[in-house]
Amino acid sequence: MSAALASCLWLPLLLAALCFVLPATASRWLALLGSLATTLVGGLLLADFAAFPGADFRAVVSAPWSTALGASFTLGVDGIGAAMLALSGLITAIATIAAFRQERFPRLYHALVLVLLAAMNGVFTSLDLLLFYVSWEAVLLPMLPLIGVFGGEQRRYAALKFFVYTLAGSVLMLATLFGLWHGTPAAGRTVAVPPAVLAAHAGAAATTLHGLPVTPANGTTPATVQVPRGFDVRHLALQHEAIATTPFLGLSLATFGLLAVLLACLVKIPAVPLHTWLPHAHVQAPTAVSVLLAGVLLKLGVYGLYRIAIPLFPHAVRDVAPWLGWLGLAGILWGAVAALGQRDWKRLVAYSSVSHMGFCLLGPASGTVVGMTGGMVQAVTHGLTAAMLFLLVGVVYDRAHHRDVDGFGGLAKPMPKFAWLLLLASLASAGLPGLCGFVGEFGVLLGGFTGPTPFPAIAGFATLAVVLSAAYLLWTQKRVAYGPLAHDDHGGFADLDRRELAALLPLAVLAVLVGIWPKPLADALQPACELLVQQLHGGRP
Amino acid sequence: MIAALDALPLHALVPELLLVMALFAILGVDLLRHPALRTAGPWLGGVACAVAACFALPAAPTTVGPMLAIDGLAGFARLLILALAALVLLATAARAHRIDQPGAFAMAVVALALGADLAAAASNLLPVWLGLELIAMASYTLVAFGGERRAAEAGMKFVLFGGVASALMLFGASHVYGLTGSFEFAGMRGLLGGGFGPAGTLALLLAGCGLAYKLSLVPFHFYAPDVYQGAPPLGISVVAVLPKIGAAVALLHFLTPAGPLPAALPAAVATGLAAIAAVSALVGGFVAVVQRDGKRILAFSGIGHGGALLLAIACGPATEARAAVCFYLLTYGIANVGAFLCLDVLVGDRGATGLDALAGAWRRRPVVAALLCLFVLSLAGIPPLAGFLGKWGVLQQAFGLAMASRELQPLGVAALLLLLASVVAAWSYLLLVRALVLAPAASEAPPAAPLALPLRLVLAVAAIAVVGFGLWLDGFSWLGQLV
Repeated sequence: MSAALASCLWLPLLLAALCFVLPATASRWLALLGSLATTLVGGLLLADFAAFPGADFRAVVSAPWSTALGASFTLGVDGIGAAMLALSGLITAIATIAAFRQERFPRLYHALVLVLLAAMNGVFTSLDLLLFYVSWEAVLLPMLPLIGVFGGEQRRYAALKFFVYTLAGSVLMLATLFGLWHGTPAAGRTVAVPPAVLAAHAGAAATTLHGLPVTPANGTTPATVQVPRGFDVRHLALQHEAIATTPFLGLSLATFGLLAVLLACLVKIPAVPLHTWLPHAHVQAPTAVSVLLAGVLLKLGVYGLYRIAIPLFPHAVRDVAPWLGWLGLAGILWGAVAALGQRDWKRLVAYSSVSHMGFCLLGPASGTVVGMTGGMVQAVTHGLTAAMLFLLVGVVYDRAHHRDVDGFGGLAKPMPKFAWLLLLASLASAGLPGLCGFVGEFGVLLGGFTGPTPFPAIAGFATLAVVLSAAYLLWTQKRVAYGPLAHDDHGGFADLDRRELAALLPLAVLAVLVGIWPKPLADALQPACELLVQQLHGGRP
Repeated sequence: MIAALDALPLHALVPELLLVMALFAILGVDLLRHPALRTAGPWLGGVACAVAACFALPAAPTTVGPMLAIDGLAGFARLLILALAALVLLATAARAHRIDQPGAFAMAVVALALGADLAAAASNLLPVWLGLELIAMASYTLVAFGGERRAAEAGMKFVLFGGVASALMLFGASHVYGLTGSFEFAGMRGLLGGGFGPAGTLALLLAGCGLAYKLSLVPFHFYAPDVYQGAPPLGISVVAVLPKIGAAVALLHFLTPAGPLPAALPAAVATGLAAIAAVSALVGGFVAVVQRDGKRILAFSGIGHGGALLLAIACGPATEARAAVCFYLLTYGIANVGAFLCLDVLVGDRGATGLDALAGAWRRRPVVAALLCLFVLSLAGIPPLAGFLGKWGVLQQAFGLAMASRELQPLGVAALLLLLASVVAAWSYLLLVRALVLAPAASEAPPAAPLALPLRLVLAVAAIAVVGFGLWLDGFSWLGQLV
């Protein structure tokens, strides 16, 4: 399985190169092949975690990369990573189906999507911080031409803004890498391993942990492990106490590192007030690229919180958790209110994304297991619902060539399947119980209500957003689909064809399935989230 | 005298001798004025540089009197200088139909390489000055080549500015001699310790003016944008890169004491260099975003990269820092040469390098436009290209020293400012990329003539190098053993 995991990185790149060798019509099939392969691997791993829950990393692949830089090619997933990998593959496949009839430069388009897939997979599966950073930055490269060449009227400005905004956010993370490297002595250090961590990853009486030999506990002295210098995230997580006390340019390394990683993640999530790149990028990007942006790229920020920020700097995260909670709330409410006022349908969905991703920030900030799990579930389910909504907007745009919500009306008559799926997507996004959106939001809100002050108050206000999101989504449904037909030529619109149905139905099925049976997803995610919460609260009183 | 000549270790000076012979050979061929021999000059020069590059690395560190010391670092610098010069001369041979006098052009490039060689191999202030002067003479020629009004204006600015910097350097050199009684680096290093008081610091600063000018550091950077904009891109490709190699290595030689290497420079020296480096990087980044000409953007990129180079040098004479400097020179050199060669092709079609003139270049020449984007993204430091790894090396050293010692914390602050400046500079690079790839063409352009084979080979080599060095993660340890 570890070989399959590695293939999630090199196979899309190989297929991208093949795109330029084979005829233009073959490139979309190559893209579909690459994304379905990733979906298969991710899905199998997710099923494995669901059937046999555990917090440890599986399918670990480790190859030396550069002894000089201390980097190794280490891949592996826990439940969170597996869910994200599966989402990444599925959304890319859906986006490829949506763009199946791409006429302008199909080779370039599909090759770029494959490179993007490889970079996203790199972020979700890498356990080496340098590989993580390179993949994080590498995501920007294909997005620049995907928005800049294939996008709408103001595509060039949107592409540049997206690129430089995200680059600026992640530049301090590079400085943190050096701090972490130089903060460890050249010969490594010996750290005590909390029994909970040892039990979760390797078993209470294990003799090796993440490939390192463990000196077992001896009465009063706890179990210790000799950690070498390097960028392995699992090894760095073991050293979080030392990281918190190492100075770095006047601050503690943990404080600087958290600020750096947080900045990068908050830009990506996107958290208010660093969200201003999102409406531009979403609106100007073509439909399939918007699907990728909303479905997967926003989740990179959440994943960074879970994989890097909390394990490496747990006490610093705990210290800023209330601020993160308020930031999440600000995003939830701001996005919802802004969405209410939009006339451009794509902008409306973009702001709804800002709102829903606020829950993903609130969940882990609350520091409760149900909140942490809920935040990640919300990330997965938002990927599904946002993808559906953007696809549906694209369906109408293909026919009407405009996106003004007030310029439609009564589309349910000529396009009943479309109207039905739009209702499903809207209700799922709004969080109707029985559909996928409810699971994540409920988990986050429950985590908030059971968390320390001020989280109950934050969760209370956040509950308002559920009303607001129902408001803008259902009002849009009414304006677009119901009532009399607003324009006679809309009556001639064709309903969803096979390709559009092929893109939407898997998402619709999953939206219902995850809504009525979220247990496998939650089972896969919970052990890892429990461990993260233990790391958050462990040690310092 | 024969005995003195016998004592010269000529085996270590083979590259320089080859270059001198090439100069005269090109001159002779050029005097024949035969139309069939029009491209003979650049070819001769290119072959001579390539052959000389094979002899660049010395078998063992050799000193040539009190003047030159050819160690591993100088050998690497010579290798890089000659390789880049060879690439540019091959490109010149391919583009000779656009140059008035290719033979004279080739002579200037060979002379530039010779001057940079000399400065890089020097262990004495005089050969450094001599090398920088030779670089200057050749640079003025290359910048004003063709005699167009803009080129002549650029050359004039270059001469005036360069003349002042040169004069200041000589003035400082005289003070150095007056204080220490020697021009040799070994004797001059006492000035670093501060034992000679303010006079010593002043002497060093003045003597460093010439080096700062060649590295286009603040406050000697003002010439760069106008000069780069007015000069023909083919000439600027060497003028922008080779002097930086020579000056950086000369400075590094000066700062490296004999015997066991200390972990870092004295804190005052390191802080001063880091401050200049940070300011140069910030100027290069922030002023670049308002530029609307491709060559000016690359000029400010040169200023920023000069700052990063200086930060690497400030990280001290330790082996890892020397390896970082060498790797940065390598990645910056190849990307910059490649970028200017691509610009030369695109300029040739339209005659101007303003962003509006470059708009839609990917329609006329998709491969060249794509390669220019590749080189520019490498200059921006985007992984997994070579520029990212070069920056990595610099930051690794700077943050390491800052964390190891409180006095060297300014190095860490300078590194953070360098990171900030690189993000701002990324916007200006992206303006260039946007013009090339994303913007629509201003008007329908006639189909472009295909490129000659030598130029295609050179661009391919540069592109492969930019991608390959980005993946060569063991480059630092390899270079550390070399230098």
